[in-house]
Amino acid sequence: MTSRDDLPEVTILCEDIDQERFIREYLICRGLDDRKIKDFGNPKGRTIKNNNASIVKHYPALIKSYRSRKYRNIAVVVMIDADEDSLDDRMRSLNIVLDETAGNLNKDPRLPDEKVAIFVPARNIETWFHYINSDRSGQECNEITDYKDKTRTAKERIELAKRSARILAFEICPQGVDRIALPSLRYACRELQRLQF
Amino acid sequence: MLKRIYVNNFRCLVNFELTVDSLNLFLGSNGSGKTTVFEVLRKLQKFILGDQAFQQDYKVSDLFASKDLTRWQKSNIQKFELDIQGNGGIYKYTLEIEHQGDYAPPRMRLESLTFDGQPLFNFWVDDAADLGISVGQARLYNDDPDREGAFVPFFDWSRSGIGFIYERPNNLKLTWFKKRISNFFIVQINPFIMESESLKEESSPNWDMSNYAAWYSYLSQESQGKILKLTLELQKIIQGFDSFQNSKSGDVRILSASFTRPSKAAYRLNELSHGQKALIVLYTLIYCSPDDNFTLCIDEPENFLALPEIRPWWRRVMDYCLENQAQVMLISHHPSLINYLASNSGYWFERKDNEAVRVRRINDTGEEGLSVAKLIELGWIYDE
Repeated sequence: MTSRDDLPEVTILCEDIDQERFIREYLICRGLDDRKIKDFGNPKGRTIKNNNASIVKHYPALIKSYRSRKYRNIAVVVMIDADEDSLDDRMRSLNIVLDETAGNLNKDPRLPDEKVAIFVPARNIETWFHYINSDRSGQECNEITDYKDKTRTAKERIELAKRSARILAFEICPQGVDRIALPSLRYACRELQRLQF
Repeated sequence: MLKRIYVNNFRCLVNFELTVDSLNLFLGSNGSGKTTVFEVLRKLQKFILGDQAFQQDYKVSDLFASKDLTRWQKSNIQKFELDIQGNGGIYKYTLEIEHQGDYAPPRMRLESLTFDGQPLFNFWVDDAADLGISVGQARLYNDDPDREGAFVPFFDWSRSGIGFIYERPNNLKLTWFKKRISNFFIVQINPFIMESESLKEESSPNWDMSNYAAWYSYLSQESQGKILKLTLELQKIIQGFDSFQNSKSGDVRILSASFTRPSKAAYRLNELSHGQKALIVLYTLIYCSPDDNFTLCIDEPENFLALPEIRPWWRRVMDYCLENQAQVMLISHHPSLINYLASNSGYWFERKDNEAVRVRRINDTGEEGLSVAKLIELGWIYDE
């Protein structure tokens, strides 16, 4: 009998509850156990204009601790909004804080066997939600417009995040990554291949 | 759900008004009035409904003592108001208690319930000057807003009038309110006093959860599907847990937990660790609550829990609230819950110079700086 201790475990480092619930629900749809998905936590617990500085701050420590126990069946998922920067800029800033030399040479310091996936929604996670919940033709959704709706309650945000994750897992991903019109979401789906349990 | 609570002249709550949402985290230093708000809710619930677990009614004097008047106030009147949203409108409940010193028991001065402004019940005191006495008057209305209320003579002003009204086909609005009040679960879990034995079934838990076994006996009869869901969840949470057994032994039932690993064994509830008992209670509160329209008020749920258990429990609570039109109010001092919840759902309770409680929503929007939990730890939150 398999012990629950042997089940794959994922730690999520992300900016807010919208991202956390989206990733969690997606991983559950892919067969992971809810209790084995841990969130690093919004490190501040504050409503701040952008929380990506704290992701960049905590990312290297998290990966260092991960590396010393990666023999276990564990993985890390990092999500950081691109906001007004590009996906490449965000990836580069994470690479530099993890390994300055490699990062400055535009190299990815993650090793091939490391189950560390980085998702960079551009412009932000609400762009993905908008794309996933629209007709997905790509015509009506771009990565520059800010689709954030600040009037949504916490409940509505969680509901939207979970619904979007289910649509992505069950309707969009089965059609193939190449059919995803939104570049940052397509990139994220390729990153997912790092999490093979 | 509860939208607003107003309290005046009760302990440290003076002209105190709090508007709440579906998810609420009460923060503040010790003695800042957080638990007092829960106590007011408990008292009002008991006053309106009696004690369901013990099928006992309460008089004003059983629940409202003059020692609970705010010490630095001169008035002898306490006032309580609840605004509850539901049944397609807003209920407003108002209660005023008059304390009469050491030689006469406290009594109701006013009790009223309205639904979207339509009166459902009204009790007031008329000062009959010609007779030199005060007379309690009550009027009971039905669901039809066009009908005049019926005068209730010889009204007993030592008890809640609403509590005495039974369900009839024409007073469904009022009985909805009573049912909603019964769906407040206000607890401060004390695993030290959770016993394994129960003499009878009890339909609701005590404040301290001392009657958990009796409540479980009730749930296992009335809500078998919910108990099954609870059992399946606990199998994931408590290592080796298999199921509960609630077997008869003489006049009592004994609640035990069966474990399959490392070998098959059963342990009485009071033989489990305090943390395991707290986990069982916290998940029972989620899985065995009413199907919708309920409010969980939990004072320091994280006590006794291992650190990795706090957030998964909270996520379950949030999901349940989302799916079941439920409401939760927590009091917590734990950094994990504070950092997770404070930005969206936090309320900061404070008392400057030991005076009356003030509350404000936490809406710190600074870009840089310390976490909310750290700010609280350092005494830097709202320290202006």
